[in-house]
Amino acid sequence: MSLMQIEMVDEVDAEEQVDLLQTMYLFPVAVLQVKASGQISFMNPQATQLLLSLGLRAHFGDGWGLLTQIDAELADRARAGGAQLGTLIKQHRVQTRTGRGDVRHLALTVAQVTTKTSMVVIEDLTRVIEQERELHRQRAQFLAVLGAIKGYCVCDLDLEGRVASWNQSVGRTLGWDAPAIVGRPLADIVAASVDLPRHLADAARTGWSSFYGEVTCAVDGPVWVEAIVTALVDDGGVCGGYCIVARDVSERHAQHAQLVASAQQDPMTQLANRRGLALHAAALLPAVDRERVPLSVAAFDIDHFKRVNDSIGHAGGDAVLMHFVELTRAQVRDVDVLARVGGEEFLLLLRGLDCAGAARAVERIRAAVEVSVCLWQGQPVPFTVSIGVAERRAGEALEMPWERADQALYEAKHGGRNRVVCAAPGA
Amino acid sequence: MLTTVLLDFNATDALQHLDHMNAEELDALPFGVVAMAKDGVVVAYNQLESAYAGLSPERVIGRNFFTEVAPCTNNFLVADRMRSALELDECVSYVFSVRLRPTEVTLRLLRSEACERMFMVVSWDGPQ
Repeated sequence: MSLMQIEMVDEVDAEEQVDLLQTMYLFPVAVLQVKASGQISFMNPQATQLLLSLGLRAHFGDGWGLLTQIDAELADRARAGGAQLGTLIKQHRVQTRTGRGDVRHLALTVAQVTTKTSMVVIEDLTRVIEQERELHRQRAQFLAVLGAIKGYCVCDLDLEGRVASWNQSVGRTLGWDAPAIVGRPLADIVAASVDLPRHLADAARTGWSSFYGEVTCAVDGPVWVEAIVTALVDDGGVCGGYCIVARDVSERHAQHAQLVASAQQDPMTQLANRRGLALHAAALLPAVDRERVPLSVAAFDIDHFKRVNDSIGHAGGDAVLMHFVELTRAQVRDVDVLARVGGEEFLLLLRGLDCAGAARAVERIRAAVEVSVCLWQGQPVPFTVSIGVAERRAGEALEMPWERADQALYEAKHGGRNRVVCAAPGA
Repeated sequence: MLTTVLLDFNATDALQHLDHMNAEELDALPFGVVAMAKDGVVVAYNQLESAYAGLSPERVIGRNFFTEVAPCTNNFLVADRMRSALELDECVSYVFSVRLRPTEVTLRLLRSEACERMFMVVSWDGPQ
């Protein structure tokens, strides 16, 4: 090897030395080299600053004394490790205090490099641990709040819509235990009318979606919920799952359903009122037109009802009405619609029956009323009913056959009551 | 050739003098000098500083001193002051890991609106 080559090698070595030095200057954790005697042969700037902040300046010459200040037991192990090479202590967590009394969380690693040299790496985890603790604290607080609130359910779904986690209040609201539901598709317990896949897709695209629908309970009947679906998006903007917050609105739903029903119903007889009748007709008339089946309308009026009211009072009159309704209900089919359209006036829509068929059907009702006995305060109250029947022509609104049935009813009254009269076909 | 020490570490008008010195004149000073732009990028690195730190000026000039050269100064004591103060002339007792050995130094941090460059002057003789 020529002299020039040797010089070049030295130069390369020197370059590498400086690279190494610069690397150590920039090293993000504290690194120290300790001789068996305890002498610190080098420490990088991170180590200098960390040990200064821990108030250990006095031990800069004495590696073992310095470690003893941080963790005495650990220092003994490091010091005794001379014979065996390799990592003696790996990221051992230590809590210590700075010169000013602040708590620091450190992780110590000690490696025996040669029989006479150890390397000590100290990571300052204080910020990481404090952040973790803060997160943990917030999560615990959040869960405590979630656990305490009633009527709200929170559950996480994975990308496939399977339940990933389920909070306590879900158990309380829906009766499902976590083991019984976690891992199952949420769609299993959500009513078919809720298009869950669409809501999840919407949430993934726009961030959120919401729905209103029935959810099956483990024990009782279904619960109505108002739910918000949020996509759980990671830092890279990728959707990794969903969070659903649902509110139990069963009570409100029931109240609403009750209100809707009561607006269409006569409270005493529970029959449809005029509004309810119109709704039934709106569904029924197009159906019979489509199926080309006849429909007849029968108008009922209880004979001399004013006389009944005058003799036994309004409560007695109501008893007569209820008696009539129960008798009539027993005679009509499920497809027929019976409505109370006035004080003692009723209307019956008879599906699939022409005028003659309808007349035969309502004649049975008239006859049943005539022979039955209504008891009021132990006394029989005899009464009869007059009925007018008209067949609806295809395409007609309900009012037209109703009008003709009323006309026939008028004739029945004038003909002596307690009878059925059919409207003339050409009327 | 006669070498004149032009400036004392504690001179009151140090900043004005330093700001007018070229690389050669900075090299002649008996203390370390790091001249930086106001964002911390090193524009001059004198011989004494280079010798103590073991880094040639080529390895340092053009890099951010606080993040790419000496992250151990990237704290409230040194970097925060130098980056945020408009007028600064303060001495700080500090410990540098010079060639990986803790060494007590005194830093003089100099910055002014009147000068384009800011300076970290390092006395390697311990506390001044």
